[in-house]
Amino acid sequence: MIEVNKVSVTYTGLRGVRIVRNKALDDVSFTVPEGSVYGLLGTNGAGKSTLMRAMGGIFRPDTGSVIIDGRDVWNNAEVKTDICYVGDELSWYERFTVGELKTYGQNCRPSFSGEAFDRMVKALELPKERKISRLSKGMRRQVVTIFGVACCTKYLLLDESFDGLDPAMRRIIREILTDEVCDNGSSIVLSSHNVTEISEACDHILLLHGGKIVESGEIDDICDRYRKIQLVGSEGNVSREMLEKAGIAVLNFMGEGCVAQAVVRGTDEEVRAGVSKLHVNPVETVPLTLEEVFIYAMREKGYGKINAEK
Amino acid sequence: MEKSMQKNDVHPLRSELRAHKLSTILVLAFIVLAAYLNVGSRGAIQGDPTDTPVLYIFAIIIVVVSGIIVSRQAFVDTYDVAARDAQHAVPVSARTRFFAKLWSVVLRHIVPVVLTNAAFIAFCAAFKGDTVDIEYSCIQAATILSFGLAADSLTVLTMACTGTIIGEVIAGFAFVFVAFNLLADAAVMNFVDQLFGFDGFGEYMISAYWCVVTVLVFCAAGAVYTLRDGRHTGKYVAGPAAWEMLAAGAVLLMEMRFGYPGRSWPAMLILLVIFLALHFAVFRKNARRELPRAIVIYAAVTLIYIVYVLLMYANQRGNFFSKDRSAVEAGEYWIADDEWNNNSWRSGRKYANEPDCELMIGSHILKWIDSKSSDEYHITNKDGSLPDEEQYKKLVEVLREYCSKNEYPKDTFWDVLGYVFCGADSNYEGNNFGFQLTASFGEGRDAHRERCTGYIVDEDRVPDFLKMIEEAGFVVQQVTNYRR
Repeated sequence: MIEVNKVSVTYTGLRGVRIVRNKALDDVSFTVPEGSVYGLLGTNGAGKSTLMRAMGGIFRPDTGSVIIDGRDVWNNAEVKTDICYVGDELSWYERFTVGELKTYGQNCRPSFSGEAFDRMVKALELPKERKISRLSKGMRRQVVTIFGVACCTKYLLLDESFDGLDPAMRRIIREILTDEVCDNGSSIVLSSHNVTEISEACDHILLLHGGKIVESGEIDDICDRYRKIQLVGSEGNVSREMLEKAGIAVLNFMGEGCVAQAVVRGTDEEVRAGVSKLHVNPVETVPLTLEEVFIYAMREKGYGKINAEK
Repeated sequence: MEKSMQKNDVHPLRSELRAHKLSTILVLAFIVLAAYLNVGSRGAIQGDPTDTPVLYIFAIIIVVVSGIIVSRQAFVDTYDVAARDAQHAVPVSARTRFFAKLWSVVLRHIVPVVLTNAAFIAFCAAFKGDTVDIEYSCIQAATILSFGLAADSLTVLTMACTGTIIGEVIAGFAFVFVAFNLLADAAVMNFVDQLFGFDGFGEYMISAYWCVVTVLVFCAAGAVYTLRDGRHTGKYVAGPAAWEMLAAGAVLLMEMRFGYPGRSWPAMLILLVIFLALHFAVFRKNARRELPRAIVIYAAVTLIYIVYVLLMYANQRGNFFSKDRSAVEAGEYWIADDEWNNNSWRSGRKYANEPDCELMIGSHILKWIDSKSSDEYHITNKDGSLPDEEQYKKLVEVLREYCSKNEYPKDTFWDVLGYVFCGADSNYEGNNFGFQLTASFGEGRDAHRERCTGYIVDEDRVPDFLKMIEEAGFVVQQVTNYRR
């Protein structure tokens, strides 16, 4: 189990002679259960990669800690044997051929399985003798991802691992992750800004924006926390203000006259209880998809408002 | 078909890469070896230990530059994000990673340098006879090796501290500074000589000194590297702290460079103003809040400088005082080493600032030149013969004894500080300053050098000085019309 406890990470740098600070993560706490596939979703610059690196023991949090199976991961070689972090920057691996990468893995990773690596290379029809720098972007991504899988660690952290893959290859990689990692009881943490990938691959997600957690938990639970409702006013018009006065958090509202459609935060019961105080009839309440949750939750945080509610 | 194409694509590339690496190593080895052989042919073989061929310097440059490149490559994670992600994810501690990288530097740089050094010495050994000085070859090799080690350590330290290209600049700056302000500072060597009671480490002292510096710098680099966080890749190690480290280091260097006796107060005041100005520029809104810390840092750095000054003073025969321009300018006589060829004046000026008169000792001739009249004096035995080695040593002892009786009249810590910060003229009447005597004896493989340092006296004490020399069994003979 990975426990992220109140982790904050700030980048400090010099701009000219002036010191600038940028808080990438702010008091982030969540838990990755064993055997789960956890997705980190977020806007661009939300802090996904920073969080992944903190979880991988590459960054030391300014405050808080990342505890893996009861031990702090920072500068702890023993804990790191249980984690494999595969970053989104692949250029360092490009010096190897596919075959050399296997040797590298065997040298630096005690649990690396050359047999599994070969099996996946064969399945993906990757050229073993070719330098990784000479492969296509998608193939490079495949090589590095299967390298991470072949490390056979208890926790696999994959940062933007589906980036550059075609839909067919994404499906294959997902299958590989399922067969080689999940079936062995290991956990995977995936980061992406692609909601579809995450929703297809993960059972838990963490939604990040501006270094802070917006939502976290099982996907179904999160989707269930938001409802899309259609309303018909029994005694006149339905307005956004009416709903908000009834204590309903309205994320989006579209309506004209006595018919309206709104996106609100709350479970079916909570929403119906709120609506019951008004003179409106909820025709239907449906949970949002993960993509809709992402869009509306981020919009609530002020992200992507340019196109909102025109 | 496709597989065969891939093989054809890949194999030539890999072999090309291997050939490229091999050729790079061979070229490096060849250049260094050629440079060493050049040293051998012009220095060790001809038995002329004072000759410093251009290619010897070139060999040092090659070793230093290759050291910087290799060390930078080894510590790629300090500036390359992709390398950091890959390397820091490996299950090893930061300390283990540091030592692994250090080992990589040793294998890729130090071992080749050692091997070429060994090849050079073996080459000299093969010609051992009347014409080759093995010891001198070893000195040259040790010097080159120590320069390589120093380059490695300084690069590793600056990469660990800064992780930026500016690290390279700082490395170069630090290297030049150390080379010219500490290594070349005979005071350090003489201080160690006196501290441990050795009568001169000779040329090996340079290598020994570098090795000590290297070990200390590697230790500092290791400490900083293990504190490094992945976030600092390509950045200063710890933001404001790094800035303060750099600023403090710069102040210290500037104080050492410009804060010579009599000029310390102005230099320190100007540096304080610059330091505070930069502090306010960097910290802006927080500058006032951080001000006490900045003052403490400045005070600590200045304390280090004062300790440095006192160490230099402790070595009373060191060339710290020779840098005292006011004393040198006011002085009338100066003793410098003479060389064994036509480079005597260039060599002599390495050790002092614009002497008015010079007393020089050569391989067999002790010369004393009065620059005002351009007269030259030779010191010989009373029978007119040239001093041999034993007689030279006797002369050196006499000079040392004389100098010890005429040491700088400072008795207390506060006197020293007063001298350092207020100058020589405020509380001292008279002038004296450092000098250095060097002589070589023997030829070929038996050639060796002798060196001593000491003081020469004020103008009004010169007659006493000459009398002392004569009492020691030597005669000062005038040789006129010396060409400067």
